[in-house]
Amino acid sequence: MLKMKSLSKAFLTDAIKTQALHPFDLTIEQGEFVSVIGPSGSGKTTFLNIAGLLEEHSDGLYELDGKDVAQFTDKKKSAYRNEKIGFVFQSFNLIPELNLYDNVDMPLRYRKFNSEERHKRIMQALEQVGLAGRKDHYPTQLSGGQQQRIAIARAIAGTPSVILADEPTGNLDSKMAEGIMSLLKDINAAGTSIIMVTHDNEQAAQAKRIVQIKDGHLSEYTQQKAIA
Amino acid sequence: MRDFLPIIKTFKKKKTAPILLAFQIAVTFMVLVNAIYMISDRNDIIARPVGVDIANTLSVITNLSDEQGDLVNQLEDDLIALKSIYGVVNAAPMTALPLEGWGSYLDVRFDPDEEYVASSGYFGSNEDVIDTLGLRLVAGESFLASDIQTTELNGIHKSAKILITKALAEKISPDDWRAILGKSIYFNKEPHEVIGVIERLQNAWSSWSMVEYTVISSVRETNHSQRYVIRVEPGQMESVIKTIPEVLLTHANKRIETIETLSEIKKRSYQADVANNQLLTSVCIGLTIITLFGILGQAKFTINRRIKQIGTRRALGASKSQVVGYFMLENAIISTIGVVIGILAAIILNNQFVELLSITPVPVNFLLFGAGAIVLLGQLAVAYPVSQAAKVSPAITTKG
Repeated sequence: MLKMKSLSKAFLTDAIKTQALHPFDLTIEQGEFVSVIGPSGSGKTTFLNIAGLLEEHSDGLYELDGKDVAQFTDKKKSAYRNEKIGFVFQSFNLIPELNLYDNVDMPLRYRKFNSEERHKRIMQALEQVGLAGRKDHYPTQLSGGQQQRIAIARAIAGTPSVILADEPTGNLDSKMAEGIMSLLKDINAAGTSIIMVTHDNEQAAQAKRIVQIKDGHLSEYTQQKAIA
Repeated sequence: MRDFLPIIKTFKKKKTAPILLAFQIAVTFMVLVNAIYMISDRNDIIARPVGVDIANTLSVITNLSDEQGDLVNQLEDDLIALKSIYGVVNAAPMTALPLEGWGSYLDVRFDPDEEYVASSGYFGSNEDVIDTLGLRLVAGESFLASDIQTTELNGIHKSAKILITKALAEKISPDDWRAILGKSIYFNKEPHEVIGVIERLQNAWSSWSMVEYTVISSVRETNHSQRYVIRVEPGQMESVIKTIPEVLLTHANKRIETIETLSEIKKRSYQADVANNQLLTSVCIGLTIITLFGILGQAKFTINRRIKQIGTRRALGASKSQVVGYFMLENAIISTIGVVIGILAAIILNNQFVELLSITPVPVNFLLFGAGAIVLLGQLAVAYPVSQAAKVSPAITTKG
């Protein structure tokens, strides 16, 4: 589903080249749950941005569903993000002026679903995260954990192939974090791939695969190594 | 229209900025529509034809002196002298001039003891008046030399043959304006036979609602201050003006008060209107610029406040054009709300102007055109900040 070969990323500022990600190979199959760990500044977020078509890689090959993303136009990338990828951000990134229903609805509107189809998907997603009864509430009326659930509902409503979660529990207490991890595992169990960036080794260990990034170098850990 | 409902829902939560902008647009619309309509209305008034060959006609005000003997003879001599100038088509005496702002007016009656049916401007002249002013006779006939009476003052009180404008004929004989020919109308208790109808001749007062109602009487006046109108051949105006003093100033008692083209007289007549139009145009331009900056500022503020939200929309699948579409639609909705309020306010303000300034009501198509223009201006004003918004990287969502 996701194949990266000799992929690297360098930033060029004021003629200074910074190698954010050194060349690496990585393949993630449909249905996998992969954790990406590493210290701050190691390149985790850059990896996630590239994987999510939020920014471009410098060199190498990145294929998504067998298609070379380097050939994608900006419009096609937008469409791919909308249809194939679900995003869960550390700070939730909900629209405060819209209620929960409309927040989940937002990416579906870009998909040209009719209103009936959208309603069905929104309610299913809200029920899956256990917040269907609060669909008319606004984000500020919810706890952090509930807001992240809504962000997850927004991510899954479009039935993406993969969910990219950037520190999804980073702003939550341990109890709430546990609930979010449980939800992500349920979603993964239903067949959706999950790539989760985290700095929490315990949470990372709940994934089937763990990828570590350190100083821009990517390497794969077995579960046992990671837990240790 | 994908974003229409979400935008409306957003307004419910964040009311202040859109309301203020809509209010600004409403005020701008209200003032602009009324101001531009007043400018347009005035321009139409200024552009109305006077009915005279204005480009080739001039007036001379000179004196007839008691020391030089009979005033009538002096008048005849002046006319002969003026007609003798190379390039002069014709010349005639007149008691006042179109758009001069000075002259006599009268109330038209069908019976001296009945209520008047119209008011009109008055000119007294001779048999050359039609040719001299370049008027167009549309019914009846012009004066003959034998019709002309002479008086020193108050020719308006003398019963005489008259020409009237078609506008006046239609006013006093609405069923058939030609039927007025051969009939007598009364002013100053005296009967006056209408022998001809001229297509158009504005009287002395440009701002008078009855400026198109004019009577020319076949009475010439020999005043100590004597007005002549002179029509020249095209291109001869300058040389004729230079020659007039040479032919008129033949003795020590002769003076020329003014020599002025009718174009200059018209310009002077509408001087205040032109100045008002310039002032209103400046106000319109200023207000438009202020509003455009208001819309631009609000758009920039809104976009800067929502950079992360724009990035989130991009990350979740919005294309650049969809981001542009969202903000353009948001502005169009605010502008439309402002314009709708503005239309109501403009109608209320216009009603006040109609009552106070006697202008005609703003036509509906003017309001609709104004509404379209304001919405379009709003779209132009937000185009740049919105194009910048579209450049927000979706990667911003994963930063801090």
